[in-house]
Amino acid sequence: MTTRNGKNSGKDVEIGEGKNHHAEMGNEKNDGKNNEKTPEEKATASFTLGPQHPAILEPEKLVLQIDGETVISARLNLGYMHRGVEELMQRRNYKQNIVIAEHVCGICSGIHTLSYCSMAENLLGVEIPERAKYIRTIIAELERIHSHMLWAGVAAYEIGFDMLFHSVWRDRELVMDVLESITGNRVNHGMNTIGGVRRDVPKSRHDEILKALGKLEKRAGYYAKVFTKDSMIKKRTVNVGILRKTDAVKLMATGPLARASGVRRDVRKESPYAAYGLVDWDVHVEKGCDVASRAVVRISELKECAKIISSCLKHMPEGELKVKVPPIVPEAEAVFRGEAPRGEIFYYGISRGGLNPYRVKIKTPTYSNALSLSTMLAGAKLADVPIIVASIDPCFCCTDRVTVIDYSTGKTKTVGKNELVNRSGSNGIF
Amino acid sequence: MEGEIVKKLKVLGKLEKVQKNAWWVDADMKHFDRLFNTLRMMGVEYISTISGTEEKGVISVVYHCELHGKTLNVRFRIPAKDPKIPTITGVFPGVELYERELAEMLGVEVTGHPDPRPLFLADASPKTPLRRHTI
Repeated sequence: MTTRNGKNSGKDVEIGEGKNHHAEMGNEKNDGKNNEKTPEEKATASFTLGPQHPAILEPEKLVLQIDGETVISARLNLGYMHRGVEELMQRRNYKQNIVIAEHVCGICSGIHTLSYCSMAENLLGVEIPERAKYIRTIIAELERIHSHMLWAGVAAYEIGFDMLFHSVWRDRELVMDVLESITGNRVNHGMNTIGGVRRDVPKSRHDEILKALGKLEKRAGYYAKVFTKDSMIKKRTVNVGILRKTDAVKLMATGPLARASGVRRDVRKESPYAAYGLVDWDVHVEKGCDVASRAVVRISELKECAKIISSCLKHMPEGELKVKVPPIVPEAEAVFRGEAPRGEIFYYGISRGGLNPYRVKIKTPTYSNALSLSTMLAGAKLADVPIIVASIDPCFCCTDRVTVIDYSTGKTKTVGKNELVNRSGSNGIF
Repeated sequence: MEGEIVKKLKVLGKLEKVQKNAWWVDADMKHFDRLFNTLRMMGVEYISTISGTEEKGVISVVYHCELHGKTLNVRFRIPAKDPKIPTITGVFPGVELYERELAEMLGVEVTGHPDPRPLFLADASPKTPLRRHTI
């Protein structure tokens, strides 16, 4: 969406060497009191990857200190897509904020609205109809399939297996078509609203969905074989980008990244929301701790997603799609945790009785996982950096998101409500 | 089990409210260090995030911890005039970025942080953009 027109100075997340991560912090200021060499001193060259680079799909910058082909330490610069979503949400009413939440992430837009709406429902203390719970789960899982397949394609591309990339993305169209036929859109589905869902998944569509899921499951089985048996993929992924279980716990990794390191962490099981507590499914955990395990976790999840969706379609009760909610939320505060395709998503809202929320805090999964890149990159080969970074399925668009800054005039200022209304040309309705 | 947890939480601070998916504890800055060590011992391994909100000259810093599937929200209130809070990276190293964001967005000085540089904003950005009534 908005970019910083190259003006950004992107702040650094310094990444040290493996377990000594924290001891290494701030070593650039080391004035030689310490006899041990700092990572920078050990390195023979510095290599900058990004902010715009063909191997990195979103604008982020990695400054790598390298010794020959080996990465000694890395520094991740964030903030190239900072849009000020949290600040913006304080200036909009609860209904309008659904649209903003939907645009926090382009890929997992559905889980953002699900989390935002559930948080708002927690503020209001309303319970949504059963049927809406099932529909929310179906959309969230379809989206997970789409996201994981997108990742599998990107991973194949990053290791130079373009044929597989095209093949996976061709099959991804199956789920995109299903999403489009239910919601009218491939991404940004506009399905969730405070109090329920906006559209039904009617019985007439069930066959079509189940047929696509059947095809997808077959393809997922094939990709599981390719990702675990193909010798070229194995060479590029096995024992690459190691994140041990202890480090995953210590650095609070989340989502498939944590599950591939043997940590059984999945919000859908820990605190089931929507219909996750009502259908039967399993959490897939791998112990390999490397890129290959992350691929296996995601591909196994494709099958679980299909299982959840068919189960939801089967058990979905008849009934209302939404309940009516008042526009003004009483003074309250509430939290909501959900499981996005990339990991835990967190919404915290405070209401002070007005039309707009007093504060909305969003935590996205890549923000949790960025710190884990430390252990994964230290000691890696330079050629493996793109696939290691891609293995956390990074979404920096979600990660950078807090304050409104206008760079269009070259001046720094906060954009006010009136200006935004003028720009939108909507006579103040939005 | 839930009763036992509630009993333990009452020791940590004032148990404000219990919701379906969350506990809310209002804690005192005096017990800051002891509290996080206790949380660690109680089985908290994951902190979803740290959020800061400014309201009427007070900044509420809330640590959203995960405990047995529920969110345990521990709130500290610090004055907005000279906001300072110690780092918890010693006990929970994974919160490093959250503390940096807290410092950047609300101007809270996180004392003892291993790497107290700004995180997201450009050099020319307005400082402490999430502060409402001051600065």
